[in-house]
Amino acid sequence: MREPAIPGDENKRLAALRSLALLDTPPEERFQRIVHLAAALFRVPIALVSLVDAERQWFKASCGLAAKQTPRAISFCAHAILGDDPLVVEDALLDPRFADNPLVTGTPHIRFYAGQPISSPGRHHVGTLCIIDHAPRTFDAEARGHLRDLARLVENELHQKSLNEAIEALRESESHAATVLQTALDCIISIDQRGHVIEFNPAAERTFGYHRDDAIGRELASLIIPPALREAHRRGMAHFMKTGEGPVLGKRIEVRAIHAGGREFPVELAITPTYRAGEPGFTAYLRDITERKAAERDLSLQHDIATTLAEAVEPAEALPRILHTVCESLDWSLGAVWWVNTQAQHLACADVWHPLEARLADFAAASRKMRFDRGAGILGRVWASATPAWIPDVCQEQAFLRASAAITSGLHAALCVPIRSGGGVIGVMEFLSTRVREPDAKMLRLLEALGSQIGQFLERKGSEQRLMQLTTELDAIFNLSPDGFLSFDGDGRVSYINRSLLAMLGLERTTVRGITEHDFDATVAERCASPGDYHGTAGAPDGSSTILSIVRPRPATLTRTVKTLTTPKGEALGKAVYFRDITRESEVDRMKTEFLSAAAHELRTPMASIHGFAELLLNREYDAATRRDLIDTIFRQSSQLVHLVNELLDLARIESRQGKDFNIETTSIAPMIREAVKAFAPPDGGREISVKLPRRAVMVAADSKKFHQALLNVLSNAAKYSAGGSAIEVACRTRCQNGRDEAGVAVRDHGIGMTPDQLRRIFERFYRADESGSVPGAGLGMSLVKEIMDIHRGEVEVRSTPGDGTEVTLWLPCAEAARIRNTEAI
Amino acid sequence: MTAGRILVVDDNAEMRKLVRLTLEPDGHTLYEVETGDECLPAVLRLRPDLVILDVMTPGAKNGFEACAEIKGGKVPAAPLVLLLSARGQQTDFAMGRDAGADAYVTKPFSPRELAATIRQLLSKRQS
Repeated sequence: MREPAIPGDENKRLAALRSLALLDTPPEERFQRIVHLAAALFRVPIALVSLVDAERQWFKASCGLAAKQTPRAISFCAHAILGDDPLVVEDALLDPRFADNPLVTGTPHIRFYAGQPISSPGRHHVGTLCIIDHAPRTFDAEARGHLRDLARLVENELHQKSLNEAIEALRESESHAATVLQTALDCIISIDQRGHVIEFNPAAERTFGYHRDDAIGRELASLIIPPALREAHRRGMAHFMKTGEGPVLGKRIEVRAIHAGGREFPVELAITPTYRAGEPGFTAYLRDITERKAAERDLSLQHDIATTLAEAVEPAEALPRILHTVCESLDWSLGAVWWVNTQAQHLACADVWHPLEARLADFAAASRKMRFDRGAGILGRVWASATPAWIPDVCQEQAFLRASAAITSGLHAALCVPIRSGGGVIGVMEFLSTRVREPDAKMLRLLEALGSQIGQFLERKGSEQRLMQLTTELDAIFNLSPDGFLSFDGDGRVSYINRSLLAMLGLERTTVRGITEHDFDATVAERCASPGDYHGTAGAPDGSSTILSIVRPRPATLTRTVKTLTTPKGEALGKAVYFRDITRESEVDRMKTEFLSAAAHELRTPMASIHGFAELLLNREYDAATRRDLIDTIFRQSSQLVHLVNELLDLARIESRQGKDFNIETTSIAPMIREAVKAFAPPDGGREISVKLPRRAVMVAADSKKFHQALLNVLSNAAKYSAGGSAIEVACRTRCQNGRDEAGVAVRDHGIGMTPDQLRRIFERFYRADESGSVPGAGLGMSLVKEIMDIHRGEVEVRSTPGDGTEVTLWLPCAEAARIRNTEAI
Repeated sequence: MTAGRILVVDDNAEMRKLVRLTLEPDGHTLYEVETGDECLPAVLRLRPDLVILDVMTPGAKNGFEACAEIKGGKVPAAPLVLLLSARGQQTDFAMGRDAGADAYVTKPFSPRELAATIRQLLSKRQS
């Protein structure tokens, strides 16, 4: 036995067989009829419609055979499908292919077989129509022809079935397409090659506002394309029809479309070329993306504004840009910002943005002149109510106070939103459009949010500015202060040091900033007279003060106070340290102490003589000469006491009255000099005093009595501190000091002179260049001279060389009337 | 009555005269120098029993310093020191005490009281 070969198209053949959907189905009358006809026609016991499956043959129709199927390996039909003509086996026992076939040797005892292949609609041999006999037979050409015809009938039945199914499928498909068309969210519009609408789905009806019946047959361009774009669309259509090419085919693009009502809106569009009844056309899929675009635009606007605010240093620079951005993004023609003037209690226009257009500029100018009281006009109402307002057409709105300006400028819609800050309205933003615009709740919300955003920005800027101003002020104050300030931050590092402290300690800002408290303490300790005794700020009790004696950069006495800085909640912020240079105060203190001690000495010493000698005279007996000597001493000492008390009282009076009892007049200097020299009676007598006076009158502003006293003191000193025989020279001088003419009296001696140290202390009370006590006086004379000259706004100039003598010049301001009078005799 | 050797240190001649007139009648022997600087050499040379020292003496050393020098151990069997001063504050007395002075008398003073103080000091020293 030879097993049947596998046909070359086996896979496709099996697919075709399965697509017939006949395997394992119940018997059908249409096939049964044919096998019965075949059995009768050829007078055979068995006739079958056999379908050759992968591993078996299965009988769709059978006559005279009980079996439903047999294995393919022993199948006669599996051989039959290999050719186009019928397979005829006249005696199976004589055919080596089948002689030992179980179907030949056993049931159903096949001796004769004739099978005509039957083809699927795709011309694959899916099975056979076959006849079988138990006895050998001949099968002539006529018989073969009949068998072939019968097989055709089977094939017809197979094809019939497939056609029905195709029709059914088409029906289903069309209904499906229609459903898709009906229920699609996207607009589906088909057009023919002339550009006329042939399909318009419900989504398209909703989106574009046309009924399907009205749309069908209309030109697409005039239906949904904005007028400005129609020509371009028509050109594109023509180009495609001519060349089959189009730039937008198969892509998703964004274009503008127009609604039946005239509203333009953005759509997303994809176009596919289609052929209908052999004619080219297009199907367009459109989606209204107004919402998406608006969301994108709002997001982008918010981003732009956030960026503008973040980058702005001054609110003034941010607002015009924000107005510009909002106008361009949300399609407003003019934007303005109005601020509440809290003093005047009105709204005033601060900034206006509009494109360069004369009529808009007119409206802007009109706005800038306007002021709105709270509650007045639309702006005043927005201010008062803190709620936005949208007026579709201000020309129709009585409350809009600039309606006439708006009409002239062609403005219609207006939108006003409050700018809120700290719970109140601090301004109003206003946008106007050249179109009539109906309220858009979303845009309103967006701009309201923007108003709050700007308010917060201004609030933040305001606090920043106040903080900066405060910092600047404090910085200026601290830098002007003669006292030293320093602060340590929470980490114990120097965060601030003012100029005075840098100067006080001889430091550079750069070397101190950021150093630790420990290092700062070390730096201060280095400058102390005794660094070992220095107690640092670290560990100093809060509020404690310490006195420091520093030697660098210059000797000084400082007080240092340490204060811990805490937040109102008590958290540590750092430490503030305050330094004060008390060198001068301590010097004054020292001088006061010295004055007291010196005054006590100078007063008590003569008193001790007077008191002591008087007591001796009262209690003891002395001879006349001694008695006289003692009384003489008492007299001299009491005279000195009187003189001293007078000088002290003079000083005190001058100091306390500050020159109020001075009678400063324009007077000639020469007579004053002459009188003083004359009044000065040198104690040793016969001192040579040379006087040089100017040939012309020098007029000065002076209290002549007081000046006389000063000059006498100077002359007295000159005499006291120089040897008896040496000369004293008095001369009148003039000079110009700081743009002021001055005249001076110079008194020159050739005495002991003074060292620079002595010279420095010359005006100290009770200071005496001579410490031996051999020169009489209490050391008040020069103090008095200084006080007198100070009140004259003059100067005491002292030049001295030890061993060579001293020259004291008393300078007085010249009177304006000076130099008029002529020469004056000496 | 105890007579002693007394050194007067004062730059004021009137004062020295007053002290001399006050104390000589009691039989004391008086020596005089003018400045604090001269004090120590004079003490070493004259070996006085008592020094009357003006606090505000001219020169490098004032009375307190001169007193401290004498009382500071440089002088064996140091003399008594009476400070005579125009300064009468508590701090001055304290400074005198610190310098080792035995008495502190402020100007003006009563010659009789000064003489009595000195007699008292000298008798205490001798006993």
